[in-house]
Amino acid sequence: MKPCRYIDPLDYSRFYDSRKTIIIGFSEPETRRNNNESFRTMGLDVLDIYRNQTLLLPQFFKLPCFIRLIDYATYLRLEDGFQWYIKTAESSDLIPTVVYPGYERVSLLDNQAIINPANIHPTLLQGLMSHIRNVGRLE
Amino acid sequence: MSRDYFDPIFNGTETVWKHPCGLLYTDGVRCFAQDHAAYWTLDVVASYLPRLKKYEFLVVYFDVDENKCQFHVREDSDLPNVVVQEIPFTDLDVSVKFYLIDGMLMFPSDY
Repeated sequence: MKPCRYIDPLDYSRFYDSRKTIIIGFSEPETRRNNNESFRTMGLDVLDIYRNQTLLLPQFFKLPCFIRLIDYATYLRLEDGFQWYIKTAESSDLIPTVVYPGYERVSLLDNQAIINPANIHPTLLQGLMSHIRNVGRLE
Repeated sequence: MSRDYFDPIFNGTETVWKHPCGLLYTDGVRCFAQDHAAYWTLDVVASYLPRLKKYEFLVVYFDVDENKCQFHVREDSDLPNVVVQEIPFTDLDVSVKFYLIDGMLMFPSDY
């Protein structure tokens, strides 16, 4: 997916730059609020699919971004979509999705684009978080 | 040698904050992370959560010596380390000690 700028599907006055857009999907309101705030503070464009899940969940795989963070409940709702996504997208075009909370017992599709934090080394996860913070500093 | 640990003394929290990786933290921890540009410390703790979740109570240290930092976690201050990570460079200007209780990171004064 080439970098692009696009209009918010719900608010035509809002634009996103895919290079610094993070898509978040947290079903719990408190977690949504916290993540929205913390990623905006980092300078990222945050597209929260629970702002209007009826409209935005079906578009989840079409909305350009550099990374997606979702919870397990959201993953389960999107699992069929993930199956389709990993079969139809070029592997070099796949956008990583991190699924929280990352616990060993959680079963996710086995693909490079679907990350369970419990299965990666802590320093790799720290590097991923640093990368996300650095992207927020892009002009 | 005893070390001085920074503690903003919030004495509790009005809001429970949540790191993207699932770590919960208090107002005092948030204030520290913002004021010291130290959200990376939360990333470090959060990255070990899957390993640490079996413990109910842990003491988490970021010991800063000049520009180096050692992150280590113990079940109590006189017990061996559960986790250690050397951080070869930091501009953090204080050492900090947190408690990690049932997945929530807090300063000792919050407890």
